[in-house]
Amino acid sequence: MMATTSRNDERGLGLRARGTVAFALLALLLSASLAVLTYQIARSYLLDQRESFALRQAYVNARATNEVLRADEPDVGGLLASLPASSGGYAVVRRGNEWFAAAVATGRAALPESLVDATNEGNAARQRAVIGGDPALVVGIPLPAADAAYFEVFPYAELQRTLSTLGWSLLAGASITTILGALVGSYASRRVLRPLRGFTIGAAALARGNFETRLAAPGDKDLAPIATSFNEMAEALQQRLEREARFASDVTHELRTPLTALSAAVDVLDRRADERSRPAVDVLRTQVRYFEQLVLDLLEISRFDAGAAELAPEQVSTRDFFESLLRGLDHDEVELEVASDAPHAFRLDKRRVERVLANLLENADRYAGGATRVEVSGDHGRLRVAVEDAGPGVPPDEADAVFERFHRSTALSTESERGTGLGLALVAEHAALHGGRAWVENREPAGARFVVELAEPAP
Amino acid sequence: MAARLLVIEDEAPVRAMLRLILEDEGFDVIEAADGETGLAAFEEHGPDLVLVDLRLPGVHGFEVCRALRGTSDVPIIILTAQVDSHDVVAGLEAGADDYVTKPFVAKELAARIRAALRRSTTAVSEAEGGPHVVGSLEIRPEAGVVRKAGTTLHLTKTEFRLLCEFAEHIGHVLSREQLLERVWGYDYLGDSRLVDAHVRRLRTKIEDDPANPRLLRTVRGFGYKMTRPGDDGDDVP
Repeated sequence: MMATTSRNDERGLGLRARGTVAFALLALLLSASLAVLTYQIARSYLLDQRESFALRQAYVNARATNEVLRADEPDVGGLLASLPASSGGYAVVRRGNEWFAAAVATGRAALPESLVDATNEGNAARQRAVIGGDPALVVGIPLPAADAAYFEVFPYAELQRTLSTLGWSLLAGASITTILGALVGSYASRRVLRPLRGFTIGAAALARGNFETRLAAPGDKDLAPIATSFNEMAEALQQRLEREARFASDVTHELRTPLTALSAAVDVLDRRADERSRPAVDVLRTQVRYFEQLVLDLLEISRFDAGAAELAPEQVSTRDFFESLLRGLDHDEVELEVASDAPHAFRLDKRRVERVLANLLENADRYAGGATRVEVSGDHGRLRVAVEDAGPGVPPDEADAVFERFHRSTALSTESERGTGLGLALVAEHAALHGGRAWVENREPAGARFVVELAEPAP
Repeated sequence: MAARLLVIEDEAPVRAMLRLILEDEGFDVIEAADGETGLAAFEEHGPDLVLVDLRLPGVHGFEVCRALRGTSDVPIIILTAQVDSHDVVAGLEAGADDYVTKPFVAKELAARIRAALRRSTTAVSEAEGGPHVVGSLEIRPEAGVVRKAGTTLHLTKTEFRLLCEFAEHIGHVLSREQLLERVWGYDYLGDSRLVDAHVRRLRTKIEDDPANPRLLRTVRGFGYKMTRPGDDGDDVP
């Protein structure tokens, strides 16, 4: 359960938000504890003060009352009116069974019973009570010489107001401290996270294929190990890619040499074959060509995989280029249509576009009885090359799969020579290297339309 | 008399097949298995054309090209396994006239050899006339001579033809495709790196400051053109 919660936290809140919240909570906790403590101390101090003051005053007043009551004709009403009321207290006096009160609202009935009893038994007492709805301290002092008792009620209202003001001040202080804590937390976590931006940028550059990316050592010694391990990782990655690229290059050489000898030998045999050996030579030629093409396609695709494929763009005149391509690929019978709004000149990698067109034409020959039309169109920095055929088309659920490596089509090949199974995958790779893509659409009423879109690279 | 070819190739099976193919095409073939033997065979037999593999043990193909260029303007065709590597450019910079990638098709190889031989043995066509004078440069196509400020320059036949092509169309932009067709005889998809490498080589010979060319200018996105010194080169292509 704990783990789930913490995972949720990680997903829900970023490091910065968590830092901010942590600082705010810490500030809140500290300032709230301080406020509560301060309030408690202040409250008990003020209460003590108030009570000792009340007691002192009650005794002074009780003594004065005692003096008055021992006279023959005591004027209790005058006495009560003359007692100082500056502290907010008011007196209640019992003489024999008579009760006198300074205020109409408070009389004998308002005094707590237990206090009255204790005082009547001859003991001085004090008690906190609620008098007329307000908390107050009641003090009772027996005056035995006059068969009387003096009671005084000290309301806490003033003290209550003071404590309330203090409480609000402390609460405001705690809130401000909490907000300040949040701000400090936010600032501190931003400062802590700032070096991580460098890592983010570096990792993104690496992901884009910029394998020379290295991080500068951050000033903070706590972060230096991260930069070091990032750089070690980048170094290892780069070395590995270089090794793979070198391997592909070595394999290229090692495979091409025997292939060259084989291919040349077939050429030699081809010229000298007599009637009886002709079928054997034809098989040999077909198989060697297939093998040759397979190796070339594999090497090409391995260069893509190793990230070693580089675009070598050149400016071409669009119409001339595609005309000569069709001628060179022995397909000049295919209708070429260059849209009037197609770019007249375009920068592209001639060899790669030649391979794209060759593979698309070969695909059409193999599965659709040959291409019927090549259409070149485009606009702002984009060039689209479409190869159309009048074959059976591509089933919708195979439209993406045909561009995968070694995809075996359900369509029947009309040619006896096998394809390498890499032709369309390479078309897609070449298109992607040009910042474009390849796709296939079906035509009405029949046939397929393979489209390759190229983006023009900056000169 | 049949043209005599020197084949420098370290792989014996490839060498043997090259001999058969080229002899079928009517050439005399001399074989060498490495760079040093190749250079010695060149001295001894004086072939009309050299076919050299770039990856040779010992003396590398580049060095063979440079050594040959030091003494001769014999046509050189390099054989390379790398189609889009920097090997091709480096080989062309070292002085090769053309290149063929492995595995090659016999007919294609023979066509490249014939085109190179044609460039080196036949004179520039009369139609190109001349002589042309461009700044301190004097070009005599019919005599196959170029002088710079009176001093005869040493150009290979390919470089010479390229220069004549530019001089003939002075002030006009020639695209790489046009040059590949007219100078190398490629009717389709020649590698424009061939043109670029030869233009660079030509500049080092005819320009006062090859890094800042005054005669052979690059027209970005179109090709190259020859201008007379002083022209700002803004003629309509």
